[in-house]
Amino acid sequence: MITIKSRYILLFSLLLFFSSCEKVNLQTADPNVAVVESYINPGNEIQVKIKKQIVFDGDDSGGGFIENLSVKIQHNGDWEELVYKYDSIYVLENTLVESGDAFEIEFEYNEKIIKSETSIPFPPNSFQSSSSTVEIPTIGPGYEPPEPTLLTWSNPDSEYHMVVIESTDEDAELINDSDDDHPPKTFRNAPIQGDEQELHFRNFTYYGRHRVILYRLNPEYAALYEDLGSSSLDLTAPTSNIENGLGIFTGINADILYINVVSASKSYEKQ
Amino acid sequence: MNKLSTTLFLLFVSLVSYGQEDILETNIDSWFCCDLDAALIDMSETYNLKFHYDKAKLKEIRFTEHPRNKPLKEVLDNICKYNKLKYFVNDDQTIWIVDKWFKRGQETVFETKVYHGASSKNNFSIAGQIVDELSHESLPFVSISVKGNTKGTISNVDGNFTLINVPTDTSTIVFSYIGYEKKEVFLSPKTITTNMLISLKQQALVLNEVNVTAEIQDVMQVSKQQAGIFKMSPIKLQTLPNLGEKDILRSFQLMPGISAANENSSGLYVRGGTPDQVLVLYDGFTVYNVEHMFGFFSAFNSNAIKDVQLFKGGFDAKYGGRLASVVEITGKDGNQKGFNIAGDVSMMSANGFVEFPIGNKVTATLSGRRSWKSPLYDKIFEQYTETEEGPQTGFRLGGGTQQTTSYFYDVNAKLTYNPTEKDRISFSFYNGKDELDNSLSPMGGGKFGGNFSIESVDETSWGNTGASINWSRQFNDRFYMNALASYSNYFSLRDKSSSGSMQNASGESTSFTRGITEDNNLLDYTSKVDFEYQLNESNHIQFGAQLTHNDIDYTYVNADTLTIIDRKTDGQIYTGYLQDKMKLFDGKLIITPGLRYNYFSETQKNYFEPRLISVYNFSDKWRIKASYGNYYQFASRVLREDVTGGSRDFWVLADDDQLPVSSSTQYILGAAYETKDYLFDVEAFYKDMDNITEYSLRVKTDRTGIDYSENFFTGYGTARGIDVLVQKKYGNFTGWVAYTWSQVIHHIDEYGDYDFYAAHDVTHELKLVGTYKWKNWDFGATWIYATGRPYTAPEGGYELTLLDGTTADFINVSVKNGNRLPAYHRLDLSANYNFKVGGKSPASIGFSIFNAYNRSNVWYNEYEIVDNEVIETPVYYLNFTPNINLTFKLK
Repeated sequence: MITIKSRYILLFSLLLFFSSCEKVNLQTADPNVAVVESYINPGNEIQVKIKKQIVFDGDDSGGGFIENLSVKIQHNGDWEELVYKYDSIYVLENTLVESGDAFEIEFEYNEKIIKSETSIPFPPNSFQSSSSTVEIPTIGPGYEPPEPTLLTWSNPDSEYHMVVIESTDEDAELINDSDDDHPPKTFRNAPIQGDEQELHFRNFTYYGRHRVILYRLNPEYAALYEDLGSSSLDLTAPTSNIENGLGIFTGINADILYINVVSASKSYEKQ
Repeated sequence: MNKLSTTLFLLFVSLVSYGQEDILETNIDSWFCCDLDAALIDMSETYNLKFHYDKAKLKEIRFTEHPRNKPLKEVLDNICKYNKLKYFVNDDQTIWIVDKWFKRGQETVFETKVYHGASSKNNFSIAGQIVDELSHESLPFVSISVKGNTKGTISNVDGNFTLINVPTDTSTIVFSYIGYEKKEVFLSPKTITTNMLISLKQQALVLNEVNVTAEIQDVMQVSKQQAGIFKMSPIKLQTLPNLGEKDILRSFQLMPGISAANENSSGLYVRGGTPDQVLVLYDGFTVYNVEHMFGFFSAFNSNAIKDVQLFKGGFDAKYGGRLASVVEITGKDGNQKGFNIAGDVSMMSANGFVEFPIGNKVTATLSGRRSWKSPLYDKIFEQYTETEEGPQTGFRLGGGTQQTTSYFYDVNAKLTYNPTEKDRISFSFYNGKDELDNSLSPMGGGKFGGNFSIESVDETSWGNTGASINWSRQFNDRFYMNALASYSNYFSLRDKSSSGSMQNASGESTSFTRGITEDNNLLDYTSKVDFEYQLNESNHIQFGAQLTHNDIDYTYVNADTLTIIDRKTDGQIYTGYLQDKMKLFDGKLIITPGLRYNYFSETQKNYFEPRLISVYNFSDKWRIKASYGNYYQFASRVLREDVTGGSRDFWVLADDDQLPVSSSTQYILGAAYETKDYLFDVEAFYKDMDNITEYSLRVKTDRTGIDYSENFFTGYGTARGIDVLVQKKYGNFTGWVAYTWSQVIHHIDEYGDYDFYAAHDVTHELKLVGTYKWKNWDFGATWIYATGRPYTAPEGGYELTLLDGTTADFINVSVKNGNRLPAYHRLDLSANYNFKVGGKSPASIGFSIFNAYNRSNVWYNEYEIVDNEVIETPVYYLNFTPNINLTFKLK
């Protein structure tokens, strides 16, 4: 029979067993983070938008502007300070942005140095369309789907490209009736590393003139299109190239062409 | 000399043969109209014959015959033919009448009364086999002990046992097995000591039978021989509340130290481990997928299971390759006495089981289960699919018809062959699969009269196939061998893509494919041999060797672009082990030092796993237990935690580069106080884990592109806790209270320089389980309370304007698992009415209520940004869900 004494020894051993465990270093969050949004492209001034993160369950719902920051950009070896304009936008005017240029950004916020870097891609090469017109057929007996319009470009290094199509006519006519009075005038696919993309007549919502923009992108922009999850089971930090911050600081380049969208029963409108 | 021996032997054989023939030619001339026992007594007295048989059994057989000078042989042939018996004449001219399956050399032990004479020998051994009384299936891992002291042993997987140093030949031996009536065998100087055949009787679910006085045992049993071993009775599972199916793994979740708050996982989270850290063996082969229906049900059909035991930790050197624990499942061999059939129908599935002997040496079992559409099935299905997202196909064409098909099934088959009294060969097969097809049928083509087609595929399937061939041989009472060759395959396929073709006016066609495809395929070829040698009373030695070849492929293809992940790994694990179960201080201290050695070809390194398991019995009531062990794991399952996708995990093989071999060191210390009816058990555990791996959907970018292969994060962790169990083991009311305090901390550098609670950390977990037998009713209730699990909450969010002018929302995360969901609690109730169809076929009708008071337990939270604010919407687990099921067994 176990004695009272040995029972106490047993209990004591169990307690000792646990009291010997090391202390753990658990952490709490600091949600006061800056969000950067800047797309640098040749021919335009450099604009950087810097906002506060929207705090979850915070007293201040956030998303507010951050003013009076000392934001510097390095371009061609020189650091220059941006000027605050309005609505969280900082601008560096009179700077000539060219393909291949490298940029660095740096500023201090919430006792942290926030920085990032990027470069301007070269413009897309040999961007062309197999047709300058997209015909919208009338679906019915004897219907023949028209050949898709093929957009092609040169991409031997598998760089990221994205096609954005915008209806440019102010009073463009809708192809089909829609419950939405003003369906979006722009559509796009996610960035791809290929060298072609087909445009089908079903992609279009409006008749008329469309601008087809082919962007050449850096990987940090392509990563924005990754599915990051929206539930507590699969939430992960969004991809960002901002050190100690959030958002995007990237260079882009583009080429543009135009196509017309017409009804097959009407005569072609030449570009 | 040789010639002389041969001649003497032949003479002996012919004399024996002549003697046998002589007795069997005895002419019987009598009139029998009585039971068989009375008839044999009459014959033995009239013709001076000696019979040996089971008196109680033959008393129940009616014998009406009038042989007129008929040879005894013919009379016996007639008796045996109609009663599934056989006979033979022993060397001492005794005629043995035994069951058809009886092996010569074995003797059924019938001693059921205390022998009051003096003992004639001391400290001797007994050996034999333990079987089910009705089906004569061998019973594995039965506990055998000498009444009144701590000496004891456990039968092996074939039901064979050797108990050394029995104090006297008038001792009482107690045989105890979960789901069966406890049996006491009273030895006497006349009792045989080898080839004993002990038959145990299943506890009847229907009362008012002859065994009404038998003790009713709880559905769960805790081992007295080792820390952290549980057994569950597959037969009695139906007395516990269930959600549509009797579920062996779900029932284990009611034990202390195993988390029960994961409704969507029937896998086992044991003492800070994850389900992939549990080695699941089914008839010797490893099962890699244990889940059906998004984890709501385990992949094992309880009708096909004979025995199941769980090692919560501190397991023998015989087992390895996993960090946390072991579940060993033994499939049914089949009824040796005749054909039997059983079936269940519930609101979730239909389930059939058949078993039969083939001749005198072979038995077979076959079972199958398939889900069917019902309100319960649809409810669970919708729980998982209503948030399903469409394929990421970019410009998607409308039209087509979407018809969801979904089902799961599993099949078990087993063939057992007993070629000799010492050998046993069995072949076991398992196949199970889940299929979910949410595809959009092809559209285009004829419908529009044109030349294009598009098809959207949204298919998820996963499953497991396993087979093993096993040869075991009991060389003698002390030496046993079990050799096995097995195959196991796990596959998981997820295809969310659209494909199609377009043809232009000149007849040229172009095809396209978009979306993602994931394919995980695991192959496991294992051969192993285990030996057991009872050196003496104090040393039971086990040793063996194993070779496993793993071949694991995982591909993740984004059809728009490239193959993102393409892991093809294969490797061999060479293993040897040795352990000695030593009984010291008159059997009070059982200590098992062991060593397991592995060589892993992928890393070309040696891995040593020292183990130590010990129990000290202060008395037959008090015992303390302690164990220590080192464990390595070479193949791991990586959780994607992407609930909307169906397939949520994939297996990978360590490579010492991106995925190092994970390891753990465990310490267990505990004490138990056990009376006839109650058990009080407390165990404390501490576990160090290294090279634990998590998969993250985070992506990294550099100058050349997006890198997806960096998503395996490796770190270290600790788990510690205390399990407390108070169990009422016998009586009309049985059940237990299980409480666990635990803390599971992980550290992964990629998440930051801090420790975080593992996603499966549950601080407090309390489980109350009770079953009550009243007449032919079994009532059951379980209540579970668990601290809410940690999760990573958003820290905040932001919007970015994209290049096309639209905006995209981004949810930013706070510290890893820095928040906790609300506490989880749930009450389940059940009532089963047991009856007999036609007076002999047991059947039952069961009613079960899941989540009886309709608690809204949070499963996870959804987040979105609306009007510059991050909105949280909780998604709940199953609410109040009733179920009904019917069970039938021919006999």
